[in-house]
Amino acid sequence: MLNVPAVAAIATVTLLTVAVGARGVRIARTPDDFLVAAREVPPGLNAAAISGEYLSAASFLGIAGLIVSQGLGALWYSVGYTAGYLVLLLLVAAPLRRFGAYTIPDFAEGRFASRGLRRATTGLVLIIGWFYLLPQMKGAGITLQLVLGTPYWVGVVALGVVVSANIAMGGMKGVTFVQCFQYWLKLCAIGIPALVLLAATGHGSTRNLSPDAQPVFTHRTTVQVQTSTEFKLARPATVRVTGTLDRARLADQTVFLPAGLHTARNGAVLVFGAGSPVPASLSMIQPASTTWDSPFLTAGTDGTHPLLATYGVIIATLFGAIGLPHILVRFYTNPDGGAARRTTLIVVVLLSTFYLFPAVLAVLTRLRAPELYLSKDPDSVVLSLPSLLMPGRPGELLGALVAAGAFAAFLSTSSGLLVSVAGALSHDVMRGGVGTFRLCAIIAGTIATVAALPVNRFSLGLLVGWAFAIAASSFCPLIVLGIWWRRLTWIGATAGVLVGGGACCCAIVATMFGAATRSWGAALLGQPAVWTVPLAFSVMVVTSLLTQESTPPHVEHMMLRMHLPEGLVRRTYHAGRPYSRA
Amino acid sequence: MTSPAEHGAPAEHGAPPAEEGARRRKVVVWQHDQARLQHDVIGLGDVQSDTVYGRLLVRSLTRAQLGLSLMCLAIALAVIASLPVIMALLPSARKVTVAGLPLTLVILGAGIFPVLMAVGWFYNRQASQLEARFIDLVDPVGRRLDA
Repeated sequence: MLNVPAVAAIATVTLLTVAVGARGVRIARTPDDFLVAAREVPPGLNAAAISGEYLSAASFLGIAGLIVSQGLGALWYSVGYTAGYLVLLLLVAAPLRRFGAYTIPDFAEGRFASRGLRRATTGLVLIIGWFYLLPQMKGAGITLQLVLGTPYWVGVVALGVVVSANIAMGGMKGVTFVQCFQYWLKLCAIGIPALVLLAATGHGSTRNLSPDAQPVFTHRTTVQVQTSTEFKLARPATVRVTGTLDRARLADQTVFLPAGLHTARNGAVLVFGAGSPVPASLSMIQPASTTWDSPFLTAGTDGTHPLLATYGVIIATLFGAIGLPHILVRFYTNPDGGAARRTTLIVVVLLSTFYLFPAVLAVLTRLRAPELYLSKDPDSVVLSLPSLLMPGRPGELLGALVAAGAFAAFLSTSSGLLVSVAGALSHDVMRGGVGTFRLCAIIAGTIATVAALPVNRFSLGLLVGWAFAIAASSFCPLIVLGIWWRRLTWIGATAGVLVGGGACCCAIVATMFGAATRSWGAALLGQPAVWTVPLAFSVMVVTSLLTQESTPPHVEHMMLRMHLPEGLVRRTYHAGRPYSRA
Repeated sequence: MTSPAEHGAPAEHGAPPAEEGARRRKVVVWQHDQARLQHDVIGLGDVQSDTVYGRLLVRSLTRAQLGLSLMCLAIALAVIASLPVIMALLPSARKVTVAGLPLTLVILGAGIFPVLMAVGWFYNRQASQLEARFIDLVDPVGRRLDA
């Protein structure tokens, strides 16, 4: 069932991106160019650009998918992503801008005068960047799969090729105006469908939202099974079936299905009466111990220790925004520290506005389109919803808008990440110039594409949450303590970054390979931020206190640079230049 | 304009700050057609020359800034981090509905965002005022001239 407007919308967004990139718009890499540009960029525009790049596949598709499948606890992701920017504002916004570093490795080297630390931070930039790229690739894969009917890998490869080629040819990133437009496009792409669908179908019973309620069909619903699905019924149901169900070919017969697992082959048509329980595919079922309206997230198959898993996500998202590699660059386009604060506050406002809508879509799904619980992948729910709730042209157009916004999210975030990763690779690992950068863009894009092929089974929200967890366990302590604590030494910083980041990576990889699926292990390994962030901070503090003789020189000078208000800076530094690349 | 003090080489951490004698300067200030003398003022010159008083000033500034940041962070964290605990301790709270919508949805889906924005706005205001007060303390004349 080809949604022609959706294909057209995706193609348009992609072509626009490539066209802007092909014009060879580059980021200026010298501080002076930035200073010139910065004075012309009003904080609102800057804030929209930052928000536009920050909102990725997880925000667009992942959160709504998680809310539908796992319950209201997934709202903690949207709260965390927004509050993460508030924490950034409170702790690091103005001092970080005043320091003037362009990337996190630059900050590390400038603050501590240590090449070893720089190498460690570069390694983590690569890890976090790739971890964040994987869900974008997956998002592209499932979007094209839904819209065009192509296999999963086609979307992944398509995104990989477009983004790598775009960056290698000249890079679209860096044009503030384009990124600003991205935010408004994404806001419309999720807000307009949400509001329209809400207006069209919002009235009526809210029974499926009642606490402890198992979802039921509120009216007679025909479900067409697109792909063979194994589903579970919570209660027995009487169903009219045409097609193959539980290996029996039926032609428009009414059967009584007991509670439990059943299999339907593709092409089957099932008609459920009002009040029948909603069948849920195996990937949409919550652990037995929680209800949909529970405000907790869970880890593992038995759903125990919800508080631990919830706090793990909260800590990861709250403190991970500081450590995302592609965010610091956006900061540098503010003229000074005070402007950085204002911009960051506007970002919090813009993000809050955006995150109202995934929740709306998820709630509408549970209320009015519960047959989406048969979807194999929760992440595709948002894309399917408009056509289901408003059959015909209007639903198609809304679906096209959502698909376009989703693809814009994948393109912009992937581009930003690929530039960070390729930049780190080419400058720090291979020590080359422009030509090396282009080669690295292609290499990095290829690795990301290949790595994204097997991650289909992990939800988008989970993958991005993990990227945040690694950032929170490594770069957040580095930046926060580096800004506020004079006595942090390079040894302490390196130890903290490696131990925190390393521990978090190991926990996540272990979870991906299915190491622990029950009880304490699942919660601690699945959402490791709850212990890796305190671990990183402690290691940094203790190691620094033990190695005080290697405190970097010029610490007072750097404190002045980061904390002195703008009005005094001009008189204290006769040259007035912010930090420039060595 | 205050004559800019010599911006000496930044002192090494651990090395003692510049001698106290460095701060005993007479600063000649021209304001329109008047000349004024400011004697022995602890201010910007100390910060620039990294004297004992300069370090004290900077430390008081960073301490105030950090205090403000941590206070606002504590408020935000108290609001955010207390919600799971409250929900866990009061199971009946989860059953509350507002206009048919679960309380969790209303709070986490919409209600908490204005709180975050308010904390951010409050922090920005206080931070700017703090910095303005520091500039007033350290370089009052220069600030007026700079306006």
